[in-house]
Amino acid sequence: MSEGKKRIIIVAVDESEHSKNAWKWACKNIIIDSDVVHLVHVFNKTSISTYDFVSKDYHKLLELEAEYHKKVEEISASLLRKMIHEAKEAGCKADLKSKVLEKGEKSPKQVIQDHCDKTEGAAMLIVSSRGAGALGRAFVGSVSDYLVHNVKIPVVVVKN
Amino acid sequence: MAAKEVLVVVDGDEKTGRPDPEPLPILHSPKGKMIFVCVDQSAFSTNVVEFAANHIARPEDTVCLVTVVPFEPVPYRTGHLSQKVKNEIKDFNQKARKEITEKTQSFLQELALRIKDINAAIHDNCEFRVFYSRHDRPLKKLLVTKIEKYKPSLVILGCRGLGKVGRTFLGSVSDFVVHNSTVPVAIVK
Repeated sequence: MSEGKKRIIIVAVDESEHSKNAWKWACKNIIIDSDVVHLVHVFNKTSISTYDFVSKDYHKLLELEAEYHKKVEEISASLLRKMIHEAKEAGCKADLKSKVLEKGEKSPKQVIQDHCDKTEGAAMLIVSSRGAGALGRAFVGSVSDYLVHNVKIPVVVVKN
Repeated sequence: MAAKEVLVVVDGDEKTGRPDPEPLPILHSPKGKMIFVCVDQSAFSTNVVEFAANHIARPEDTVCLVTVVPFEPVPYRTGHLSQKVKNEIKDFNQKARKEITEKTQSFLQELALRIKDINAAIHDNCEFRVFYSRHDRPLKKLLVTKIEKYKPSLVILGCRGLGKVGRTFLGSVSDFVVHNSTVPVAIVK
């Protein structure tokens, strides 16, 4: 491997067992010590506020919503921290960065696609073939299928 | 120093139960893994090979350049042919297969030279595999069956090949292999 520059590798995960296996596979087989790895998780920032602007308790709802978002973001961040910790214990010496991306109005597939297309120097994207919403008979999940078709960088689909 | 020569690979016959003369690729070290790089004669295959050599392959891995060639052997199993005619047809089939294999060898050698430009250590561990597709063993299913049989650690494909598809669309072979392979697949754009 004759790469002088650092290359960026993006690995998209969710909370499922398939994603963890994909992460382990990537650390073992593809990632080398000089890489910068973006471990990406999309968290769902759904709005819990009502459209009742006149209500007295509206500001309380906003506070609750902010707390809820913080908690969800913290769960995502802790999941990624755990994965990074496991990789470092297994001996991976690359530069592992966690990126928690928020899902606004776009779907998670589009959020990951945008991140991949905007990151300069991204060498490839690694996803697992199935995730949390795994159908028994589907061989490739909808998210990985979408990413294979629409992302402009090479995609590795990890199957088990 | 040269890459291994093209093996004349004969499809094993499941129906007659004859032994399968396809040898598995040699793994050069216990830490190394087997990587299938599926190429064809289109211009895009050089991108696929360069991606494999730059980003995926390590010096201890075995890179197999895999290509599928259409070849229809002349059938001779009918009962009413004499033994002499059957032997002639068998020889003819073997000669035709050798000719086709030699023609594919030239473009596979070119791709191997590309790997050598990038990293000579990987080039030493390169192998070539040619599979023959027939009308009843179409290309997509043949690739998937061979992947299940050889069990490589990773298969690398381009997003398009000889067909004319737009830039970010995915060709039919790549789509089929991504959906049906049991092994991790990498698609190069």
